[in-house]
Amino acid sequence: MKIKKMQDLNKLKKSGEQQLFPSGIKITVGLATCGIARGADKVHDAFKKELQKQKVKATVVPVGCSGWCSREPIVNIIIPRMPKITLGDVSEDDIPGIVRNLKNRHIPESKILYRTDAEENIADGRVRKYASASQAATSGKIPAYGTLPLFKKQKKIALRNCGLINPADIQEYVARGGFKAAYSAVTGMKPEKIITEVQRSGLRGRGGAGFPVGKKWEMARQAEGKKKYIICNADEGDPGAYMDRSILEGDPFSVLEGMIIAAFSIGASEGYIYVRGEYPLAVKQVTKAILQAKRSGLLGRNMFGTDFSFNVNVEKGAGAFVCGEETALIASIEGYSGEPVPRPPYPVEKGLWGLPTCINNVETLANIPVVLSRGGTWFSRIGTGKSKGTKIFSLVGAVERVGLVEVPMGISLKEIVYDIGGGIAGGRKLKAVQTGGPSGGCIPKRLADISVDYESLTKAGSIMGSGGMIVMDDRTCMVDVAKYFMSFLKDESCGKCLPCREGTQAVFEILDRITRGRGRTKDIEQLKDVCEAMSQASMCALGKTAANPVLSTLRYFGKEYDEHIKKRRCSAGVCSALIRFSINADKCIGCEACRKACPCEAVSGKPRKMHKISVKKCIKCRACYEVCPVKAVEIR
Amino acid sequence: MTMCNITLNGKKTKFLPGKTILENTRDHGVKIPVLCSHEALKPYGACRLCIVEIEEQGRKQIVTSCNSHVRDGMKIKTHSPRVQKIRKTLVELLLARTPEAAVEQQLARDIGVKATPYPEQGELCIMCGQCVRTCREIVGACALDFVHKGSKRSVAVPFFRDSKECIGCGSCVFVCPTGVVSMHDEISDVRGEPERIMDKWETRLPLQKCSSDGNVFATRRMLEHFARKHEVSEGFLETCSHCLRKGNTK
Repeated sequence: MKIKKMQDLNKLKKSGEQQLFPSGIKITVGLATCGIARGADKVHDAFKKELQKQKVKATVVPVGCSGWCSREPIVNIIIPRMPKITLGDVSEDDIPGIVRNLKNRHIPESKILYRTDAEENIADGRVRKYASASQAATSGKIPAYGTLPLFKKQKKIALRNCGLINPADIQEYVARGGFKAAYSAVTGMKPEKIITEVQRSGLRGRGGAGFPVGKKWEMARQAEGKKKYIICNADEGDPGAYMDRSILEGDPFSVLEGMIIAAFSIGASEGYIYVRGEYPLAVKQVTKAILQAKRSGLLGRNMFGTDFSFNVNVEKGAGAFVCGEETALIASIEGYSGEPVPRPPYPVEKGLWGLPTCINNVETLANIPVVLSRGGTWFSRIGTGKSKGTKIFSLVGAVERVGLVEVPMGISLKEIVYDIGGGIAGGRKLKAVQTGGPSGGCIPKRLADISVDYESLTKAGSIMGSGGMIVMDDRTCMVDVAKYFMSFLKDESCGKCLPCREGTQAVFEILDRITRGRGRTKDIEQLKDVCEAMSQASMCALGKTAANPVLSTLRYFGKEYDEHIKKRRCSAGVCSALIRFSINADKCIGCEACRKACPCEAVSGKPRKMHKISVKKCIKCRACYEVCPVKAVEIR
Repeated sequence: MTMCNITLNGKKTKFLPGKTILENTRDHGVKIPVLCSHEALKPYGACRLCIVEIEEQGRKQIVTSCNSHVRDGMKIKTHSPRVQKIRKTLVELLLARTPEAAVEQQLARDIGVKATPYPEQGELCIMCGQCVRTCREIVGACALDFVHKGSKRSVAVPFFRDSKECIGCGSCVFVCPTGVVSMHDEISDVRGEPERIMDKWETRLPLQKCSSDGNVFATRRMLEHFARKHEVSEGFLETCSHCLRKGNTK
């Protein structure tokens, strides 16, 4: 059925709602990459098999990532007139038991994470209930969704549908208010009016630079060309960041809708989604979504019965980090090797095939439908003075609850790490938080009160970036961290311009020297010189920001550099050339665990007698350190 | 054409608006060091040595002069302390890469860099890309391109040898500022025919003998390429320009 009128959309919405709130039992399994990595695909198949075997009537539906990635596989069980129950760490072995209990409308408590009584649909602000208050009260001590510290301070706009809907079913997206914004934009709004609304919202680019979206659209609208393009930048390359992947895997239609609205506003007739080849599932979901949207007339010629036509193609990247840079991305789509070209001219004037091109990030586009349906003023009330709305972060590293979180701008770093993330794993101490990926910087613990917004992070020597947030505990060596990011950047530099090509290599070599105990006092001066040259003279953002990991660690952890260079010590115990393993005689119980774990027979000692480590034979693999039950192995 | 009012290194002057900062400063006799720029090629902006400090409406910015156009009221400093410090670091970095390249040594002398503090790598190519761009923009053969990325980047023909696209015109040899691209002609051991060997591209191309005086003068593939490009009959190019000029055609 082709959607031409509002009634058609409403019809689709009704059938979608029946799927979201079915009359029978429904089981959803989080089948995003984070789930699959922890065996969710097996759980999904096992549910299907077991339901058939035990003759229990229920539907099993794959959904996207719901955010609590460290507890995957996550399973939701929806039983009519009962709160939705979310289970975590579900394994294949649990499934026969769960299915058996389903017959009696009962869910075993051991794996339950939380319950959901009602869901707010951010697209229209309406709340839909799973169970009435009295029905919910019977759930006893199961914590409710909104009361969990992980979710309490979050506000999901871009992630509004992730983990709730089947990403491969357009009806479920429409049921959540999808395509309503695109419909009213295309059929009843002037492009200028849409752009004003987006400008009013204060939405800024979520890819990293934070350029005002409305302004970019306006420039693209005013640019002259016989054809215009809109590109969705899904070349997410930061190590440890997976915001865009999760959106494309869990809610691809929201990105498509954002693209439709953007295309209509700037007058584009063709769009590209440039997605990494390393994201096979995202590619699959987004390709499926485009096909379904085309079938429903939500892409293609004469959309909604108007003379507006728009099509979207998927372009796979080959894995170069630099292709996330606008001009390199365009070169890559055009079939050239992904190398940046000097700007100006900017892509909004001369982009793909020399025509005006507007490039927006996945998260930015996913926000657009809500900006339109709730209004720019509503959106601008969230966040700080200059940073509006919410931002998704992939909270990873030494944090208790690893996952994908969406928080309002202006929240403090502390709240993200301690309240949402549950603090540092293993009861250790926070040392620093790295934001913004390889182009970002490290924010030390003493600045943990910092407000998370574009301006404050930049002032602290880091950047918002695309949303990677790596939490580091006291076992992290900051020189080693800088070296890691520089090693990534030197490999990912395209090599076109001198400062980036030679600079990243030179900085890496200096840092490598320092971590090996061969640092010299003048190395710090050299680091600063090269960093200045890179940040001032590089052609594209990769080189211009490449100095950030070094400069921010130098700024906040200069003492550690000094310690490495002058004392030849790494107090975090990371740089293997600077540390020595030994056994504390007072603590050793002679259990032989270390002797057995050592791969090179460096540990000697008899049972129940004190053990010794031969410095000559030791390769500093840490095996003894990790295995010792009484922490008798010490690093100096 | 109305000229732009410019302040160049503190002195008021007038610049041509259609030209880049680099072209204009050259006309005014101010020397800005460059490595990748060539007057016959489009601006490339890769060596970043031509950076200058510009100031517009109180906003200071460092830009590459080779691809930045002039605007009225611009203040340009070609040798400000900030620019010179960065330029020095860049030259030191490049000198570490190619310590033997004469063009690089000369540049270091001009700028006052005696030795590089960074470990020397002993490369020969300075990555100016002039060969690649000449082959693409001027010759139109597109036989060369960059391979690998980061500091491993280098110039090559597809699969590193026996290029099907290289026409052996020698333009790459001509523009290369370091002499790392070279070629020579010799008599083939196998066929006994005269051949041109593009040393760096490991490509051999048969040479054409002039139909008039019998001297070899160009590769056959080059003549075919230009015959196609300029729509002349193939036979026309079988005679060397020397004989053509004298009218010695058969």
